Amino acid sequence: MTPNLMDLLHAGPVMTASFFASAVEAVEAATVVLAASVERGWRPALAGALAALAALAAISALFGPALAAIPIATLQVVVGTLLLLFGVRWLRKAMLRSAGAIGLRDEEALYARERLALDGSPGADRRRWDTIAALVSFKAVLLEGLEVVVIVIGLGAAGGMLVPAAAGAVGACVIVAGTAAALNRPLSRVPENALKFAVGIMVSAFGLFWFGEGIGGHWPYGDAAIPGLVAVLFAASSCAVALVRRGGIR
Amino acid sequence: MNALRKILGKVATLFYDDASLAITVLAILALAAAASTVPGLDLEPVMAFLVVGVVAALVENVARAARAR
Repeated sequence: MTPNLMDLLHAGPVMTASFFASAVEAVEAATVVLAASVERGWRPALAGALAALAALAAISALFGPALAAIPIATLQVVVGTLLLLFGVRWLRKAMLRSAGAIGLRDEEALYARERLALDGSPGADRRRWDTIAALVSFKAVLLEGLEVVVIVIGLGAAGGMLVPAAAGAVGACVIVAGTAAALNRPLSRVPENALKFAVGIMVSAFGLFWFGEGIGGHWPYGDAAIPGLVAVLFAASSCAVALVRRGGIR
Repeated sequence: MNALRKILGKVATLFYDDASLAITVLAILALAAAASTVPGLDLEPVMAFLVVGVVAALVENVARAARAR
């Protein structure tokens, strides 16, 4: 295989996982920014979102270079542990939602609730600068953006894949923000739980892979073990969901 | 200060929302890491334990959570 194809094979899964995980977070942030924008004016909402993006860029610039100083095995163990905890948490929630044990996330309802809360806040005059809209927007983008930063660092740091991971995240955020702005409504048709299920599996697989490498183990077939881990997690979680749904697990 | 506390709280909840699952996964990782330091031990069974342990912990936790609801 040519080096370019090899690079693509290595970067592809990282970029894909980062893209879909970041898309989920971006949809959640877009719902709040859109509600603030529609209810209180787009300028403060946009300013709040941009300020949060600047804060996230500063946080990344501050902590990013520090990663290079950490020995690779330690980095793999730490990143693997964090990715696994993060991925298993998403996968658990997605499994419970798929099995019908907890309700699906309703973006339209969250949007309506956010609009109602902002409408009731004092100073809703669209001609003036609206601090509340800016703060609500800032907080939503900062908190969801922090998750994106963790995803990018987790997926990219241990394998020297920060650029593909960041590219996937930026691509997802640009597409989601552009679509939400064009439609001017929450992206309720995004299959949030299916995405969370898939991302939970992928992130957990990367977590297991990096942790195993970090403790000195060698996976069969090297990097090609990641799709194998994805397959194992997918089969086990799908079976568990089906059994819970049918009442087979009691 | 309140905002900072909220942000730190949010960062912590990125990694767990069910403490028992997080603790079980951490225990499996700790066992695997400890086993990997044993001289002369083949790491293939350790890797298998890692995968099977995490999958079993997840499935058990989901089943228990579904039963409780």
